[in-house]
Amino acid sequence: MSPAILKIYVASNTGATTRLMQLVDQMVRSHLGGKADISVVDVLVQPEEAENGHVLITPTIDCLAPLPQRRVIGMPSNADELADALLLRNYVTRKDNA
Amino acid sequence: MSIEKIPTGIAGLDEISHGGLPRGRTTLVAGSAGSGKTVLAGQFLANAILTEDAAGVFVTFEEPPADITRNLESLGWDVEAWVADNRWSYIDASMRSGVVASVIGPYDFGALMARIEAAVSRTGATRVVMDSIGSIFSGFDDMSMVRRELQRLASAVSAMGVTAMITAERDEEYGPISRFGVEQFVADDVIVLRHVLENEEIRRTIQILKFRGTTHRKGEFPFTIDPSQGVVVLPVTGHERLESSTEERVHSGNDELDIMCGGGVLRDSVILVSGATGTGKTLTSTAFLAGGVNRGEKAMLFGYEESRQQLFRNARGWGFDFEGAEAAGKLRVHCEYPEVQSLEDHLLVITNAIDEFKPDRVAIDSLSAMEHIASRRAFRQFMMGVTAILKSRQITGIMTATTPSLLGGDSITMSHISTLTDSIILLRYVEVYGEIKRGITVLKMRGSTHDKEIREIKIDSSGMQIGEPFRFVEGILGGTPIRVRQDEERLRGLFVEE
Repeated sequence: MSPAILKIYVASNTGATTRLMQLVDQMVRSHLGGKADISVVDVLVQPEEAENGHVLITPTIDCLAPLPQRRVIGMPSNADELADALLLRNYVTRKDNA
Repeated sequence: MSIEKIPTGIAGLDEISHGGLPRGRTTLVAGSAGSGKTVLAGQFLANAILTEDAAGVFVTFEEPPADITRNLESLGWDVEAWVADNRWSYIDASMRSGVVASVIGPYDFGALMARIEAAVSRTGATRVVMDSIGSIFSGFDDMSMVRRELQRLASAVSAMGVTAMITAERDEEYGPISRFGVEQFVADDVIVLRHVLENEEIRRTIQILKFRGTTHRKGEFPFTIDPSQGVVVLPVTGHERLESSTEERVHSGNDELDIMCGGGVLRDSVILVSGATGTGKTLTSTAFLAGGVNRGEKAMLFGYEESRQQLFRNARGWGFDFEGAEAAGKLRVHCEYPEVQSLEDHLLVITNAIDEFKPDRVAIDSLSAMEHIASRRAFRQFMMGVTAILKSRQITGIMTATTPSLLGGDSITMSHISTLTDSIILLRYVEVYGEIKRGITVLKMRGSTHDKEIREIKIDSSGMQIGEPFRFVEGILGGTPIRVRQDEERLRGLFVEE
């Protein structure tokens, strides 16, 4: 199985960021079989990363693989909602992850 | 505490804004598509680079940076070079096509703010423009969130110590300030750009809607987008004071006319010559120019009715050598069809030509040609503009206006511009004893006494000969001359002291 690649843009290490990372963890466990390639960008520390990624808004979650690329903006209310928005629901059991 | 302003360097805008945009604040510029928002925003940055060598940041939400660079370079700004040496930084905030974004919850513009802040601190920028914010809202439904985020954006920009300009789309020329109806709450300062179709001509205007806590001029002012200067605002209104500040007299081009005017015309006065076709208006303005040239002055003619060839031939017919004067650099003749451009553009052309040639006297022949291409309001503003240019540069001006009726009569042109001119000279056909004669009179001369009689004129190969006053005739100006009895005339004579 090729793991999903996620890039997450946040603005500093706030409570909201902590909450988002918890939901991402939860999603990875429930839908991705605990495996994902995740990088986190703090736009305040690395504005050039936001520049390169054309990111205006925090939080922004990019799913770079599997293709097609997609972008989710805003704070999800739970892990399932995030998985749906990223089209990753039950990714671990799907056929497109080979 | 008074609010400090920074000059935009945009001609006329600094005048109507009483010095520029409020420093350290965000000014919203709202306008419909094609109203010149991006040019204005780009100019705000370009002028800072050109005059103060100050860096700027251009945040684009809509067009890709390459397109903006290309558009602005057509105005003569080398944006590419400025980008290369960090005086101009783009932040490309345009929505990428291809990547689908979905909104699932609350968010903020933290990343955008971080990018702006990084660019400002990297380049030491003092100005930031954001063009245009309408497009970033189209994807979002929650207006209260958008409003809150914009407010944060504006205050973040203020905290960076820069002066910002945000542009926003409007759907209608006279309606809600912007499409989303939220931006005006964000900005303390709002400028509206309009372009409306008027008499089949596009007329652009700029209005400062509000400047919180500081002054500005009210109302709409015409502006034009000049291919070499960008936005040029014409700061004219309907109630400018136009006073003569000099007592110096200059030659009118005709010795008799000088006498009628009490010894010549005032140096910084504007004279209106009104008359029916063929009464000698062009001759009067030609003599006026030649009279200046013969005394070592520089003269300039803006012709809107006749071609250069015609004007030169006319002048030759009256004994004036325009070719020679132009070759000697003492005269410049500028001919154009009134219809080729709007009055605002004409005004700009006149201003630039005058500032380049620096004439002592200027003739415009004729105003009536200009009047026909615009609305009354636009025409009046044009007149105000021309008059202001002449007066501020101490130039003697003469303008001609054609009256519609052959005998006497008023003209539309005259009725609404006569208050703008210092002197009015009337040329009229007079029918007496079954014969058509021409008459001249000085109707008004601000700041001077003048001859009040109506004199007969004759036009021959040496120009205009002003003769004796018409005697025993009344009602010339009204267009219905009648003979009066000679004894009444004699009676009038009784009151004249020897």
